[in-house]
Amino acid sequence: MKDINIFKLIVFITLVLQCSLSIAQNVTGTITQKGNNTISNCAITISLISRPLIIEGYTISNNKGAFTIPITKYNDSVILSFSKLGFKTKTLILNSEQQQLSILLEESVETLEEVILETPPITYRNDTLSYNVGSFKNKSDVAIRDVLARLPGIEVLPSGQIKYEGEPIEKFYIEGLDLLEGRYNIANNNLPASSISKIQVLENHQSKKILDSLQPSTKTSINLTLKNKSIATTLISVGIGAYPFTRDGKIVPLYFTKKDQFIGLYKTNSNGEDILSEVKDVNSSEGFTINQDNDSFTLERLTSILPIQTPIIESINWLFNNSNVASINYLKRLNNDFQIKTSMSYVNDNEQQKGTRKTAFLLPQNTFEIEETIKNKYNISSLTGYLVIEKNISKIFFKNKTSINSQQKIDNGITLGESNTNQRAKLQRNVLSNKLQITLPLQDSALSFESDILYNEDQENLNLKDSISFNIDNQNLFLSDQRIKKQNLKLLNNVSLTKKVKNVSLEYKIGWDYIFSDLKSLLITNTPLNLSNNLQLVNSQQYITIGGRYFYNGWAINSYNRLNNNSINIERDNKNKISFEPLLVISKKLNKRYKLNISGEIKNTFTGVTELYNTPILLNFRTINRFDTPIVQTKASTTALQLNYKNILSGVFNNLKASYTGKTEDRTLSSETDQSGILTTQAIDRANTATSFNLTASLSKQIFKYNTNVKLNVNRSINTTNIFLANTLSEIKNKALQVQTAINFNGIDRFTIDYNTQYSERDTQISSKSLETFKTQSHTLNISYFTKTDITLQARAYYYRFKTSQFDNNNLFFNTSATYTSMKKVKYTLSFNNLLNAKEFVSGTNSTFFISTSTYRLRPRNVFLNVSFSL
Amino acid sequence: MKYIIISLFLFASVIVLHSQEKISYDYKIIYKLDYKPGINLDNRDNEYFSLYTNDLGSEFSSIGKRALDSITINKDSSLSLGQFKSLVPEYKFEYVLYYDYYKKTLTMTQSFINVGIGYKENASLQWRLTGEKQKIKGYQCQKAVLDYEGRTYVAWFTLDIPIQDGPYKFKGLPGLIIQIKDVENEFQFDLISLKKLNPKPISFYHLKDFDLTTKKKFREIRKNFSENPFAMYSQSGIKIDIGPEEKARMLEEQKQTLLKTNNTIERY
Repeated sequence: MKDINIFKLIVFITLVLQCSLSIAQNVTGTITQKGNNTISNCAITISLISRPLIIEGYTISNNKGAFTIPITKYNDSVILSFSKLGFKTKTLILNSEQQQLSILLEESVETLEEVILETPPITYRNDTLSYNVGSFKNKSDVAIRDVLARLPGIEVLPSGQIKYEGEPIEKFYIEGLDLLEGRYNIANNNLPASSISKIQVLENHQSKKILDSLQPSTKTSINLTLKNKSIATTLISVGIGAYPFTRDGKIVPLYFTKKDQFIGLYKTNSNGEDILSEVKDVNSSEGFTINQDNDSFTLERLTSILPIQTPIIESINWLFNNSNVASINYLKRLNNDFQIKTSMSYVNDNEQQKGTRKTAFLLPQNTFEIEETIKNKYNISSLTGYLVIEKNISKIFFKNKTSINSQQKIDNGITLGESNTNQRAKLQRNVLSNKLQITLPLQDSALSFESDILYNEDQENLNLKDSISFNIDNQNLFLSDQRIKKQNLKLLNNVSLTKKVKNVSLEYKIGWDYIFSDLKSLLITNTPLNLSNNLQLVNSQQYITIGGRYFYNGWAINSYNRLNNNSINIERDNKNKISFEPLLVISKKLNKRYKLNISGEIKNTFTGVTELYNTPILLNFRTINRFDTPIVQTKASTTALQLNYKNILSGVFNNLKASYTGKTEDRTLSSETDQSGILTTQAIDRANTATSFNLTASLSKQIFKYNTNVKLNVNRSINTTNIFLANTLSEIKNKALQVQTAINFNGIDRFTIDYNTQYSERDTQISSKSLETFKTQSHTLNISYFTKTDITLQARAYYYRFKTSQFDNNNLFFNTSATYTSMKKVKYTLSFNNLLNAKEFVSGTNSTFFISTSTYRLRPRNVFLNVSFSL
Repeated sequence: MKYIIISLFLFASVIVLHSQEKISYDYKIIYKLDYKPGINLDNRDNEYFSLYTNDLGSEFSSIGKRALDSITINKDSSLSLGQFKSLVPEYKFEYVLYYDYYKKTLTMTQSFINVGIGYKENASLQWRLTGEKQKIKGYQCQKAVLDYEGRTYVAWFTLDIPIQDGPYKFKGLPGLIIQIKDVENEFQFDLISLKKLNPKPISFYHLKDFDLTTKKKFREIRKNFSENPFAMYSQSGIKIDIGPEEKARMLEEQKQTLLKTNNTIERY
């Protein structure tokens, strides 16, 4: 009985205890490991002894390894389990009296077993990316807008050149292949946005794989990825307009597979749209890039007919053209990592310009004016082609590009004034160039060799129907015909070694540039004595460069130091100079919002053959030049400072940029204008200093509430130089101020409104006396409305006011268009241009010697219908 | 002038003395999201996400985004463009989510025009454990239920992998989440793989580079940006040279695209 009582008591006590346990306490404790270090983020789970696999409750230990877990509701014995990755899991049955626990976990070397339940579409293996491409197939289409959402820092210039944060991009890839070299306008303008799935901006992209780990690049490249990895389509567009009758037509066959890329292009038009720029190399005006850093080498043209200033509005309102452009571009990847690229483009273009030009010539004693009517016709035919063989793998970089260009430009002009002048300027040019680049590994460095050869031959003729009198050396000479022959041979060779030491990439380079130029000119006069030049110039330069690039932690430092030994020779002079050219660019991300960029550079240039001819050359029928000077060295030092501010939270983006250039040259220009408007330029052997200061501030603000963007851009520039005017040394100061505003409003559904204004003021001072202030202002309003039925309506209005003390002209234009895209993806565009039928556009220019205003005849009111589709 | 340049050179020699710092993660976990992108549309889409973890926390983002960033931002990869050519991933989720195991905070981040913004929030969730058990993908899993931002989720986690983490903001269960889906079956994450990483550190965004704001403001900026990316680009000095007519059409198409992707995981 007693036993039973004792048993009852035990049961009772147990119940009470259990009861008190269930009423009471949380269990608390600390988890530690060997060495008494606490363990945080350990999972503490509770299960009941009756069903130990089910977790009834849990907690996670805090920073200090401490935990608190309530066990109130359980009427069974409780199992506590402590688990954390890297430690052996510990399990214990909680004794009823235990409320304060001290848990010691043992480290475990076991790691989790790897699991692969499905192959993910991308996997990393030792930093190498590999793909399961299949996973990306048949995904719902991504619109180009989504892609744009990832586009940082892009700017596209009117020439088609793409800049990223102010610097030209290096490569334009389509599917990782550089089909078009610098002529990427073809793709940019013609690849349908709908075929592109992604535009990637590759910052600091090293295009030579072999240098990838050795030399961080400051260049940016762009890659387009296509929605369909294979494309075979032809884009076709046809349009007609009236009145007068105009046309446009386009056929663009595209063919892209993994191994081949082809873009063909034929475009023809007479409706004023500029199609010539499509086949131009954006990095070079003539389609030749010769320098390794993509510095373009410009081939000059000396002579021209008297030009008329073209309007700054859409070209469809003023360009009277008849253009044909054809181009084929093909890239093939061969099995042995070689790529072959070939391209051939042909341009044939006729343009007509008509207008009047009023010029006030500023003479030391007086000013006189000429008013004339100008009718100019331009004809261009040009054939360009190149062949590239390239191998770009991590063991070798090899590239050889052979280019040819043959072109003819014939310009005919009639200038009707007090006397009528018929002019004809003709240029015939042939260029052949080859560029070879090889980079090979050399232990832990890379050794590069580069060789450029360029040869060109230009022939320029300038003929005046009626000879014109020029006063040359106090002798009145009648001039009518001129022939010029120019030849250039350039050989540029260098060897460089690229090496990486910690975070610094070093480059040592040694090179030799050899330039031979030959200039022959013959200007026929009415006397037995003709004016001729026969000039040979040799410029030989040896140089050593030591450069370094450093990137880390928001810092980017680029430093190049070049030591040159120049030896330049013409018949009447020679110059031997050793010069030092340092370049330093430092940029630093100061914090989340500010980025600072500082740069400094010293550059030396020497006059070329086109600035050394000492017998006069006629540039156009009103300008004659002569440089009776020794070889001139120009030394330019530039410092620039840029501060960027981005605060996306407040939608504010500001930039401030200031730059200063000081130039010294051992020559001063001397110019004289006579009563018939003839300008003679000579150079006097006297040192000159020129300065240039530029300040730009850009402010912009996004107003989130109205989805509207407001921008303000202010630019101020001051340039000064010295020049002899009528034998008097004068200081010329050009000041310019430009204020731009832009509002982009998207706050109303289906409407987009863009409103831009520009105000500019230009002022030229000669010896502190102001000549004339040019004031212009323009307003552009664009309204687009997108209807529910796939129709876009658009109206564009343009107002331009041009004001000087003598002129005050207003120009107003209005263009509209409607676009309809059918279900079958055929796009119809109907445009009405120059609705107000404005007859002419007035604008002006000034120089040290004249102020001129041009009135340009415009295309009358017209209508144009275009249909485009793809096969 | 000369002095300015000389002093710049001196400046340069001082700067080159920084050391390298990178993050090292221990495990990489891949989840696949299968989801319904449009509220009123029936089509489904999917995307892969990676969850990188170490002792301190984790980082969760679309693997396409991660891959692209590792190439374009970090220069981590020895891979240059030619090598991956057309193999660039499509991804629709731009965000990167950081989870701090110690502070139990989540930081949601996204970059717009190379500027990162983000917001912080508390990671603690009110999970309800059920006794239900099930074997999923070879793991003994237990069911947990959660109401979160307008949806009810069912999660299956396992103690076999004692990582208190999971996809998206679903953190804090005692073991790794193997599968989680909402009861309307609009969003479902499944574990795809788990991999131990080499100790080699990889660099990524530093959280300090992000501008922190409120969740509300973050969403406002994201909305503005996705509705009209042009405005924001043009504002930061970026000009995208397309005709106004083409631009208007793009914006309209963008609106249509947004309608097709208006089903968000968090309902707000």
